[in-house]
Amino acid sequence: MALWRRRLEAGDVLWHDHITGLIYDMGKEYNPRVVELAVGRWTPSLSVVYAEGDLANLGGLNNELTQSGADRVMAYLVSVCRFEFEGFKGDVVFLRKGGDEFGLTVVGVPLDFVTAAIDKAKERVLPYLQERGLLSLPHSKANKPLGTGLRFAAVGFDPAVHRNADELRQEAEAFLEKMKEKPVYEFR
Amino acid sequence: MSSDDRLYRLGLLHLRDKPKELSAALDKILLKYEERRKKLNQAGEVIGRHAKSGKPAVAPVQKATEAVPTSSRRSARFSDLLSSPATRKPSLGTDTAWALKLKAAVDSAARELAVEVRRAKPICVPEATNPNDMIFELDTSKGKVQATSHRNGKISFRWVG
Repeated sequence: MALWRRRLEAGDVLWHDHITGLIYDMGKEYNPRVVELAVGRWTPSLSVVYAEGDLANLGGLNNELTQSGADRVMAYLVSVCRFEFEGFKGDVVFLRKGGDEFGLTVVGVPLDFVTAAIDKAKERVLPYLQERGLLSLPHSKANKPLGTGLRFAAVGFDPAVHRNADELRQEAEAFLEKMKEKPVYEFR
Repeated sequence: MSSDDRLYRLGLLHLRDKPKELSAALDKILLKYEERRKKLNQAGEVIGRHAKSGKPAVAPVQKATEAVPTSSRRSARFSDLLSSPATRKPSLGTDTAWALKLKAAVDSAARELAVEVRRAKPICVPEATNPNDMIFELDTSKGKVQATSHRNGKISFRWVG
């Protein structure tokens, strides 16, 4: 494991999410530090990408499949994403931040590669969602797009655009909230 | 609940139940970063790239008249296929949409027609019918089938020959 990650984890008691197997950032303090340390490592030849993730329509999944069923769907979707993300030749921290929030920090892999991996993961889980009819799952809130799936808003750090790690996270979060206006899978 | 946390961090929690205002506020935040990127682009500096859903990352200085370069042969093939009628410009990221639709068509053919699909290929966007439909030709164990993927998500099949 990379030194910067070991240094992070040495002073922390990290929780692990028993559903997804990811680090569970319950206090939401670990993720900002991960991003900050990653941004500190940025050089023109060492890119830093942060992606804010979200499981769309968790409420609808809970209503439809009960909580244990929703947990199973989440575990499957995350396992596919982990498979894609852990193939990166760089440092990856993929964690669960809350109910349906995820954070992905990647150091040493260009943004294009990260977005390609996200797209591939989305494509790979599509048959699973289709078989279970989850692409037309009604949303638990009114006037929200149907269906479920994991969506990620990935942003590459650039010191000329982002003054600090907070701005990088802010852009990713705003980007993700904007993405939530549309369904995860859009078919023309 | 976690979405509320995110809106709180963005300082937009008070707009939670006002989708239009929320969308405008999010645009404003995103625009701030986009403006910074644009400035850098104009200055001709090398900058990081930013992914938007389905759209290409912002490229460095490029004349408006220049064609957007395609990253791979596959993208070029799909772009050529879609731009051939020249009636409307294909939206970017269309190749992914075609691939997903093709997959959906193959899956539903196998499920609903109980056939084994051997080969499948996209044909074209017909001009006479709805331009939003996508047509695929499937070579199955029981003969050729033309699958039409409609905008509303339905897929219809027609036996050919």
